[in-house]
Amino acid sequence: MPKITFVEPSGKQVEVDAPAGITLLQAAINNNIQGIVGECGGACQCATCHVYIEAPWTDTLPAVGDMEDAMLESTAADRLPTSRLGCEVEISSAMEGLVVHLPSKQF
Amino acid sequence: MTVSDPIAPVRSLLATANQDPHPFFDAWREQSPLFWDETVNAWLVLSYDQCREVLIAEDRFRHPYADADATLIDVKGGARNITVLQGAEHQRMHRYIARLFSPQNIQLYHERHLLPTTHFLIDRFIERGTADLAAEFADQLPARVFMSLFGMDAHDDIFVARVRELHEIIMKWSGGRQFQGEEMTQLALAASQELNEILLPYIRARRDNPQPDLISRLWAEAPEVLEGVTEDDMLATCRELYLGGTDTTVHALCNAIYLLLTQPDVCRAVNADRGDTMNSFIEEVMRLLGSVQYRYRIANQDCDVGGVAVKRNDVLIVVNAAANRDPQHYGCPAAVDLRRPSSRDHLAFNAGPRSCVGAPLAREEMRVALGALLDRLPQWRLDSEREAPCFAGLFTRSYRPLHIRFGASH
Ligand code: HEM
Ligand code: FES
Repeated sequence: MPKITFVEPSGKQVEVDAPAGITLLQAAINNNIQGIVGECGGACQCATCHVYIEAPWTDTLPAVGDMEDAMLESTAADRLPTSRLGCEVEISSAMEGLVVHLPSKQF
Repeated sequence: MTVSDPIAPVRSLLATANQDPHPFFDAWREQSPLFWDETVNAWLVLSYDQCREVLIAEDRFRHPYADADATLIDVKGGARNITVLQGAEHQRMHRYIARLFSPQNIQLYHERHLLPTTHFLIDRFIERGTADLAAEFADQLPARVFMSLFGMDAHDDIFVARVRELHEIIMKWSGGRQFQGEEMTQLALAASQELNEILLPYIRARRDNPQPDLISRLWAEAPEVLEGVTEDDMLATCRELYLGGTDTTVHALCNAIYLLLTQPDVCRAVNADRGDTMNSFIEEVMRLLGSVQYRYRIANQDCDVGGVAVKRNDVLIVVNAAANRDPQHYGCPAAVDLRRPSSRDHLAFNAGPRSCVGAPLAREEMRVALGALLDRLPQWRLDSEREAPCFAGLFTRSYRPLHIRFGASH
């Protein structure tokens, strides 16, 4: 199980073991991470699961899809080149050590 | 539960109308997360986990409009109404509307539509020292905000009253088509026809002569979402935005005002912090009292929901209001707690692919309205000499009337 570190808006770091195959949103919810909402339940329809991916992972994750790209236009915190939607990133065993920052606001 | 328990024999959603339904929901939920209600021919889903499960899994539990017939499409204003659309077309439309109400766009609407409309309404009674905040404020604000967004005259009382009347008929019909008669269906169809006649001239005018309003924006952007957009598609979209966004917000506003008037500690805390505390308060209003109380879904196959066997094509009534007070999910579920962790995970705006696309607008409208009332009505209190508020309704519920007195105005 890859280890993933979530950095909450307060700066608190939480390291979790996340099974491959679930999404970053699911992993965050399972571990009660603060700063993520996921109002639409992971259907890529609300942009309240916005996260920032720390380098060097930004470039190595599977690319942003068209639907995700459209929804990223309406995030509450600024969209940056490192922005992703947590519900659209599926965790794989190659993501050992991934660091994910939660934005200051989701709505 | 014992036989002498007064709640036990009343196993019917309909029997909870116009009274506090929560003692019923609590008693039923304690026995099972869902139970069959013969009076409505459907499963009532009462627990948080099972409600969420049903709402999120659209592949297993379809929205009843997936089986829309001609009558329903007529009442909804057209086949490409967002709530009737299915699959990829629905997803595209849902994402588009969600972007229309993104935080960035809400800021624009705040200045141009929410603030002016809110103050216009308060100005009308501010000198009087008394008001019914249900009839004179909450009932009026969401409808007039939409008229303002659509570029219509939001100050025209007769127009507003007629449009509201027509929508009330349609809301009543959609709250329980199964258990209302043919006469109600005919009324809903006539109301829909009249609304189309009201709206169509605006839709045509904005197509030919765009203005800085939402209808013109929809004309400009809808072709990216729907292939070959027609006048009917515009009608269906505007009709649904208005329908989804008005009556729902009316009840939420009434409930928020009621809690502020009856819980002085909460009111003081919200008054002192219009940021995080106000936001938490709005989530607690939605969780605790909400607005829309339940939604329908239909099982696509035989399945197990919370240990109960549900058959293919069984109707499930997801009781969002009951889920939101499930003690398995929320500590002290009946209390306002402004420090509740994950305060936004309630189901008042649904969850899943058909969750509310207008929630950001509803939340902003509540923030603006409550802030303005707190600022402009010093020492407001319920008027003890007038009819007291009562938690009325069934499909939607809110406290009304809200007769108040307030101190020296400015
Ligand atoms: C406090 C106020 C509101 C409440 C409680 C509320 C509640 C809901 C609920 C429960 C649903 C799910 C319906 C279902 O599929 O079963 C929904 C959907 C919807 N709401 Fe809201 N709503 C509110 C305000 C608004 C506003 C202001 C708008 C418009 C700007 C709006 C537009 C919609 C639309 C278009 C849908 C359909 C979404 C879809 O099918 O993909 N709502 N709302
Ligand atoms: S959870 Fe809604 S977009 Fe990801």
